[in-house]
Amino acid sequence: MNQSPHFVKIRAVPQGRLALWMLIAGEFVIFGGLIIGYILFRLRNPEWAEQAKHTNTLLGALNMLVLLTGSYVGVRAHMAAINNQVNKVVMWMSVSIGCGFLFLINKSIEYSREISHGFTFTSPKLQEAGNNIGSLFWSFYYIMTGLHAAHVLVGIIIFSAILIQARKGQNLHRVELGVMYWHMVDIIWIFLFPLLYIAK
Amino acid sequence: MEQLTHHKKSFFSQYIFSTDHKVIGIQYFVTGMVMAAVGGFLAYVFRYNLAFPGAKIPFFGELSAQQYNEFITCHGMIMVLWVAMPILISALGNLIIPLQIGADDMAFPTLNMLSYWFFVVSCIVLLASFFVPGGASSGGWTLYPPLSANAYRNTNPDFWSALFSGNSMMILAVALEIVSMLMGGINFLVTSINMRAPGMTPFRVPILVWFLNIASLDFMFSVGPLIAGAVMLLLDNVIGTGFYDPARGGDPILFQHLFWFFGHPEVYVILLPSLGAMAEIISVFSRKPIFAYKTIVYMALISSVLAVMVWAHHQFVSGIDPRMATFFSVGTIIISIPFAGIFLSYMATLWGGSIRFSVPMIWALGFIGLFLIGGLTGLFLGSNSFDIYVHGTYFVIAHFHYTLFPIVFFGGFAAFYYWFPKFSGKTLNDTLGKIHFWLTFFSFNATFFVLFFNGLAGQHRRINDYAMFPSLMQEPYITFEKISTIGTIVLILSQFIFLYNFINSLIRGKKAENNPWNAATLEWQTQSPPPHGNFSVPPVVYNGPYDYSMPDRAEDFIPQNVQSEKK
Amino acid sequence: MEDTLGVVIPDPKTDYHGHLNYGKIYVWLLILFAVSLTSAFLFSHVAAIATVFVIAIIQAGLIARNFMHLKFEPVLIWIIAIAAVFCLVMFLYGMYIDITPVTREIAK
Repeated sequence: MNQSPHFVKIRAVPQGRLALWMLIAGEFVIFGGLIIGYILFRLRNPEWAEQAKHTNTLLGALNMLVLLTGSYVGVRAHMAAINNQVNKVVMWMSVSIGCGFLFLINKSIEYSREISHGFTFTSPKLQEAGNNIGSLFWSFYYIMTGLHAAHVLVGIIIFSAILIQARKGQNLHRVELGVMYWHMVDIIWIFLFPLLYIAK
Repeated sequence: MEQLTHHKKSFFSQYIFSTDHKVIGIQYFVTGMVMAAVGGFLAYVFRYNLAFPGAKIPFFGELSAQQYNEFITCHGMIMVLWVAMPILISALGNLIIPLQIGADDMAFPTLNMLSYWFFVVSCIVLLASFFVPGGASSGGWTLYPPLSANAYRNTNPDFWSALFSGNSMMILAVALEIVSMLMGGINFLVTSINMRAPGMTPFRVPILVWFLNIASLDFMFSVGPLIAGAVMLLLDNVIGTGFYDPARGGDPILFQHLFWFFGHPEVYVILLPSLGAMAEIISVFSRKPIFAYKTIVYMALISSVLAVMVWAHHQFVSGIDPRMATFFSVGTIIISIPFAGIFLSYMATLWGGSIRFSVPMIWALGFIGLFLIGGLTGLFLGSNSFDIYVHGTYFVIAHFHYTLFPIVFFGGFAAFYYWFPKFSGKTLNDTLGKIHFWLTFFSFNATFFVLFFNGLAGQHRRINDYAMFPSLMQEPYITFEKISTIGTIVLILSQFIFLYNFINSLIRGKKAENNPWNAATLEWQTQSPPPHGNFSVPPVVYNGPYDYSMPDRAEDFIPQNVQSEKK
Repeated sequence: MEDTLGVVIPDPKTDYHGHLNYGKIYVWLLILFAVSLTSAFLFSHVAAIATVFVIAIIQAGLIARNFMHLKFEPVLIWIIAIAAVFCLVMFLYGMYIDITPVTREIAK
């Protein structure tokens, strides 16, 4: 009864990469929930345009550039890891971590600018002026960028952990996993950037 | 034997921080049972208060209105997220998946251990929330704002006391629990995709493994919005943002959508593993191959797609747009088709089989009978015109418990009685198992069937003291309330039979055979209990999982790892 | 390579066909980024926003397909990716009518 070729031909995915794809899908749904909530409220409250004017497009664009570069550098590290070129892996990954730090520095400059203008998570100044609707914009702004920045921080930690091993030529296959996470962070920013900094 | 001595480890790393999937599964099961005891006790206390308002409750004392609210909130949360999830997904998945697909352990053993300890922390956070000032979360188990968002905010404006309020701790506990289940779910999926034994093709995988994986996928894709929503709710509570505050431009409906987008698929996440275990049990004890294996799998896949399209039927009375209500109504009624298909396949399996009424089998049959009532009343509620009338009444409570109680407890006990010999190496007492079943069956029906009548007669839920509402404090409501409460007490007491049977069999039980039920799936082809690494010889699979009633063999079945002589 | 299951074991070197021109894709990403930045000055408000979001989707696709090597992954990974997108689309569809057209006066 088992005459038919009972071995179906399938292409396997290494288990680390498979798990990471699932993690990425899960993360997308988390950010997707936030982004959809933001879009719906943005369409409901045209007054938010007033607040969105205060986001700093220049710093946002700079961050986009930094992340795109980080992504590209990451993929070079990945290719170097496939070819067992430890020196190149270390070099490209260090550049990538540098990009992550640059992003966070930019972000903190941006946050301190906003805070000095009185735009915080709850924006008490706006509330006192009776502009409750406006303060909700800043709540969304901080929760979305904050959660993303937390992911960048986690990415830096993951990269550093992988780099420590990769320097000795160990566990080079993990470079790919770290880099894939890095691309995910990049893609999320690709959607956050137009939402918060361009569509004003 | 040599292998075993090589793996000798300290007690600590063998039983506490173990990475072995069997130990982790048992840990999940025991933790889930402990939480079930907590949830059951809460149910007993408020059920008693409903039938005898203001009376002094034995083993508890008097129940205040605030405590009543806390207890129903925590009963709901505990039973769904801390009992159903760990027992049906984590315990069943950890124990069964590697054994049924012929793997030696999970794909990521350390992640598996981590997921269990996240779960323990979430239990502790939840239980601790009963003892903080202001008491546990008390806005209903769905955590709808504004009840869950600014009650504490109004009284305690400082950060730390807001963080350690019942609501914030409940949200944190839910978040930890979700993280733990996500780690477990990814682990299950990767294990079942990548670690199958040679010859274990997708359609030779037992239905339980399929269903556990579909459930994990469903969970993974539906939980994201709730995580986002929980972060927003936490910020509303702790630092006073206005995401759910209409006065600040927010909207409480947003949270209801975020919650139910997860909350409805969650029902199927719990239902599918339980149904999968039923497939194993019904096939084994009818001595017949499961009817329409592939159809069952496809039906489950269809239902998991439909599951993310029906969530708003929980919000028909929350003021959602009536046009969408029609859409969700139709979706809800359509989703009954795949599940009817699965149930009819099970009944077709029974038909003409040589049925053995062993203890797991009667639990499985009880599950099917009772779940049918829950499923059919679900069709009534899916229609928005009917739902609007009964949503605030006990009809919804009765429906909900007729679905969830059979899923979690009848399904869970069927699985327990079925797999206990495998994992303990001991045999349970059959007579006690049957007494346990019949007592549970009758007391469960006594508890919840009468609530259908109360609900249709218009008795409101969400009232802690009916003595304050004379129109609700008359016959027949009050008699039915009392029947229901007595049912609850008998229901809880009859679980002590199970507890006695469990502990007694562990200590004094007869040694179990390797394959006491003559089952064909892989977990029964190794020792009881399975050794570290599960199989002494890595299995190779030649047959489907349900090859029973084989006329040309001495026993009437072919184990999956035995090549049949007849070509 | 094949194991006993008949599963083709992936080998990173052959897996990615090794010859993707990542530099070219990086340049494309930068060009698209420049277009999305300048679109605000070139088109009307609505057209600019539409352009920007179309570009965002193209950029995300480029990164996922090439940098994350989605285009070499088997159908299983595509199913996971599409399921995530499907869930989000359903979520948006079910929620839109309850949030956006509801004015704040009604919501109160």
